[in-house]
Formats: sequence, structure tokens, C-alpha cells
Amino acid sequence: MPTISRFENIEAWKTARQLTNLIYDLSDQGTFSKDFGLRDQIRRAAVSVRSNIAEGFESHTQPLFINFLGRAKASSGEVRAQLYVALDRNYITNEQFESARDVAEKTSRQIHRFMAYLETQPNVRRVKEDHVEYVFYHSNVPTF
Amino acid sequence: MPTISRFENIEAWKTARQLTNLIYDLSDQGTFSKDFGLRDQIRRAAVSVMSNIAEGFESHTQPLFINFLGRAKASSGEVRAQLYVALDRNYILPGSRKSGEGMLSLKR
Repeated sequence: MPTISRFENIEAWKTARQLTNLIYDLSDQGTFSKDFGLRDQIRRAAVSVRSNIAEGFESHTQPLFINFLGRAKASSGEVRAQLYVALDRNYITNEQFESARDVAEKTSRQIHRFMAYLETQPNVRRVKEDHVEYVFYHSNVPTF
Repeated sequence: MPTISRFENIEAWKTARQLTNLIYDLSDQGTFSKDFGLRDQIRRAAVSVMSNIAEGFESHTQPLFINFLGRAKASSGEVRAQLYVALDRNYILPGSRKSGEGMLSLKR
């Protein structure tokens, strides 16, 4: 099992990165790109998912990490809610909506599993998510 | 009583979705659509109601959920306040303000 000490390797973060790119692409096209308010809101929410995972991982304390993951998950819910607005206003097609919603839900699920795992493992210095092991609190020497 | 496992099933969220669509429709027409500032503000506020309910539900802790619901309710108050601006500037008819208000009161 690989040990990971960088947030870039967290599965949920990778999915969140995919989500951000998808949201940027969708909100770049046609009428969506003209609704500056919604475009701005949904992009911020998508970026916030990634940012909170990264912030939490870097925070190096487990309660704070869980807290940040909760915020990340909340933001991913926000993205999903705003996708409905884009669908209702015909900014995106049904297919685009469904594929983006699936990615948002996958992100939420991964974060949720990660949080649930962390909550059952108080005070551990190594954590794992799915098949990957993470080191989020260890010595000052970074391992890559 | 059915258990809610997705924010999409929350009644207040469904009403907020309706509200957002109504606000978009109203602010798309005539002089309202030219007042970019107000149009942007009221749309963001409406979207914020839906977003905060979803965020709170996903946050999975009750104090945080209640906190987010408070923000959602605040945004719905903001929408109502801004509907009066739209009415006072004759962007909308008194009837349309009422239908927006009817929806807003459902969330309380």
C-alpha cells in the first residue's frame, strides 16, 4: 500500500479537480457564460471543494482535517445545487447535467468515506482512503 | 415518515428551486433585465437559498446544518427585500411580488 504525503494524491482531491475542470468548461459555453453571477458562484464552490481538502490535509491535525473535509463536502453539495439552476435555465443539457452531478456525488462520497474512516481512527498518524494510505501528520521530513 | 438521504428531497429545497426559477423569469423581462446590479443581486440571493440548504445537508453535522439553514433563510429574506425594490421601480407587477412572497413564506 503506497504511503502518501501530498494532497495531490488524495483520490477525493483528484475527483474534485476533475469536477472543477468540468464546471469551468460547462460555465464557459453559451448562455451559461453570460450569467456572470451563477458562473462565479458555481466556480467558487467547485474550487472550494479542492481547496478545503488541501487545506485540511496541510493543517496537520486530525480534528481540523475532518472539519475541512466537512466544508469540502458542503461545497460539493453547493455545486450540485447550482447545477440544477443551470439545468432549469437550459444552460446545460440533461446529459451534461447528469455527468456533472455524478462527478459531484462521487466527490461527496469519497470525502464522506474519508471522514468516516478518520473518525474511527483517532490519533493515528497514518490514514488510508480506499486502497491508498496517507500520512497527514508525520515528521518534518516530507516523503515523496 | 420517509427518511431523507438527498437534499433534493427536502421540501424547502424544492421550493427554493421554484423560487430561483421564478426570480430568473421575472428578472429576465423588460426593465428589470436592464438593471444589471439588482438582477445580479436577487439572482445570487435566490441561488444562495438553494445552495445553503444543500451545503448544510451535506455538512452532516447538526449544528452546521442549522447554521446553513439560517443563512438560507437570511438569503430568502434578502430576495423578499429585493422584490420590493423591483416593485417600487415598476419592474414587476404587485401580483408577481405576491407569488414570490408566497413561496418565501413556505420556507418558514
